[in-house]
Amino acid sequence: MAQACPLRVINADMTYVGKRLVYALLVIFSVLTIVFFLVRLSGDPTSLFVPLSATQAEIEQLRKEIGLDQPVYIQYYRFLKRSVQGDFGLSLRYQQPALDLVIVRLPATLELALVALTFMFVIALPLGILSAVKRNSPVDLFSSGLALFGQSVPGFWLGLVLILIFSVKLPLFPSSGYKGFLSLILPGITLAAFSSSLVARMTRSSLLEVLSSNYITTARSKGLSEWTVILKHSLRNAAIPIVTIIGLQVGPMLSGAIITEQVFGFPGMGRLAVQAVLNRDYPVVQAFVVVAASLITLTNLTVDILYYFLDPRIRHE
Amino acid sequence: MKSPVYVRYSLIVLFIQLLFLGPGLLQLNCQAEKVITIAEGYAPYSLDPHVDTNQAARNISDSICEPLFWYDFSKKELVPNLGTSVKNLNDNTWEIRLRKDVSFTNGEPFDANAVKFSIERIKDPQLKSRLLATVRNIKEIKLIDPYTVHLITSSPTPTLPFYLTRVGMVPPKYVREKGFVEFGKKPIGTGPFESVRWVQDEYAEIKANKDYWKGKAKVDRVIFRSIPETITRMAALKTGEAHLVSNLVIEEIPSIKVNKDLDVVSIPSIRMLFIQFNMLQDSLLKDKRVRQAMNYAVDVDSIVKNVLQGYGVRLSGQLISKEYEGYNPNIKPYPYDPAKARSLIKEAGAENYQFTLNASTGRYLRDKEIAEVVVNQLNAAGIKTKLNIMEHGALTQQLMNKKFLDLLLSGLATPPPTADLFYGVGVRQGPFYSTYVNREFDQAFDEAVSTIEKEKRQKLLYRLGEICRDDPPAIFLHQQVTIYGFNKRLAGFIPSPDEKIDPYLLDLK
Repeated sequence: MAQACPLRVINADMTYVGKRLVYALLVIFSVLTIVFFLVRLSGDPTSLFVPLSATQAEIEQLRKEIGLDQPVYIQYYRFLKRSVQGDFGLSLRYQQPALDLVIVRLPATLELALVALTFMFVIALPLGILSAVKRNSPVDLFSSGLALFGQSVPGFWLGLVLILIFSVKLPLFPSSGYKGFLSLILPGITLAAFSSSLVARMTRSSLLEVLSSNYITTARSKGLSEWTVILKHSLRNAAIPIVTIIGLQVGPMLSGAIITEQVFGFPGMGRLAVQAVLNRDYPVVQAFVVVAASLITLTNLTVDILYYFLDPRIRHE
Repeated sequence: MKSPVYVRYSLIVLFIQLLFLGPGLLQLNCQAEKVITIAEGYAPYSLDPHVDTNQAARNISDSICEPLFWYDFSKKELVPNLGTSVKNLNDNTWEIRLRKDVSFTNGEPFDANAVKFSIERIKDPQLKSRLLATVRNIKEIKLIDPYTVHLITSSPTPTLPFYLTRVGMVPPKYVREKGFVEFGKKPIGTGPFESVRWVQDEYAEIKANKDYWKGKAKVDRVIFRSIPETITRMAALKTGEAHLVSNLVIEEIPSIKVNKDLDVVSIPSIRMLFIQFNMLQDSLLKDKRVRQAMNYAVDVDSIVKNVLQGYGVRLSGQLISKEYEGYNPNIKPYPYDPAKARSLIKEAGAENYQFTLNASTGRYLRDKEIAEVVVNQLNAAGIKTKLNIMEHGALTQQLMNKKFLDLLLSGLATPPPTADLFYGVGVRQGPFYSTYVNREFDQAFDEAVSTIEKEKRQKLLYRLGEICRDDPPAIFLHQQVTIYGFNKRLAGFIPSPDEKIDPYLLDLK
């Protein structure tokens, strides 16, 4: 079989990656536009940043300083121009650069997401594998029940119940705050619940599909042990959709963090976002949405690119 | 040589215990030092007393940057603090004498210059201080000697000394060096506590100022934690992570009362709840008989008893409570009289008119439930009313623009609690929230706010209450109650109507 010219392959690779990059930039641009107009639909924030007894002149002065006295298209042009330079303006509440406020809180949120991801790997993956291997057994039923629970239970409720059980009744973990590893456990479980259920179910169905393939029958007929067949031959091929699902969980994790951080009084960027929305702190809302969208887009881009290199079928297409 | 099995097991058990008991051990360690933790729902955005004026933030900043005077709610008078006396030399001049033995914790002297700087700073547009209204009338500050200042106002301002209770004193040199954002992160003052660290959205830690001019506080450190979710806040109290939590909801009270280590205390706050009439629209609400009828139709006592389970105090036919300067003790509330309401509505020809009550949910204690009961009671008295529940931000917007339809469930607190400020924002027709139209009220108000002479001013303020009783700007509902949960080891906590928590008074048993 003739081999493809390496240069042509590199060109094809670059075209694929380049296309994905352009799509990613388009997504971020669209998000910038949508968030700009959405926050303005929620009304004029000036009233929230002046004292009750502010005079009309003082209110107008603040509107001028924020730039709300300008026509929307001028506001939009300025917003786009500054955004590309990473300048989302000063927070109306904190009087500090909005992007800095979000970035400072990002590590706490990422740490929480990392703990949640760890729970996902440690609990959801083995549970999914066991469910597939012991299909229709009590283990499978238990796993399905747990997955159903995880997907249907609201995050804020689960968080509060975990606090009442594991902080109040059994004083094992702090009920709130950000005081070291232990304070990450309960919010981590809360955040992981939804995504873990999805990953467990996906692992189960993906693995079941692979386990019924002909090459697995061949592997078994060669006399390989069942666990070698599962871990070495099946899981590898079943992993592709699982990796995709895990990649897609960055979005739900970030949106879940908004609720989880609020319930646990966790000082991450989700909580900042809630406060910013409640206070109509436009610059912070905009910076948060753009950072969150960039994170999601970046993850999806990475998954897309990894997919390209991992799965030869995509390269072929 | 391998260690015996029981040694290895013991080590593992010890490790697990350390892992789980870590926070507990830390707490025990802290307690040798007398540390109090207070959990509030609000997260301050600055510790600068001139920037974040929410009381939860002020509880921290006031402990660091004290004002010249405090306000005593029981006596309705000023209590000297950094200022030893205040008197008006003429209608537009106030003389303030200062303590001579005080300095800021960074060594800067506290003197007339610091007072001038602290007040003038509020007027700096860059600071965007929410205290601007309190010092707006001060046109000049004269330094008479290092410990005497004269505040010259542009017009007679009888409430100026009350306003000064909101103005924390800050050190000029340090503020200039640091800039206002940095000062807001680590403020310095003359107060009983010094700032240790502040982690935004999480906690602020302050430590006792050993050289405080009134003597060192009884506790060494106070940690103000910010926990927005009420149930989580309550959990922190139950687990011992907090000694005092504020703004509990009624549903949580029984679960705290059953715990022998905990207790609940409540106090009527300076937040008044009422249903505001929009008289700026062309509607039947311009007829005072309709507004009186609505007051006769609503059984406020029943709302307080059944909806608020007693956690509310009925307003007595005026918009302000007894904590406010200018409260008229002679005014009686509207009795619950649906028959009279029905006849007044008939007299006014409003039987077929459909009113709308706009309210938000979750902003005030059981606000939606209160609005539902009010609508039922109005309808039962023949006043056709429908309920419109809105998001609070949108509702505030309508209030600011004075564009809401008919009725709006509103809550207003104006610290310091003076009738001037309350009526000025909520009732006097002008640029603020008022949708009330009554020229007599406006004239009486204008006269009251510029009258320095105490007795005459009081009569005028009483008159304002009487006008509102007869020609109501709102359905008078109740005074909101603030509920605190606390650990019984905590001593010295005295709840205040303005939600002030004074760490200087606190101790641990």
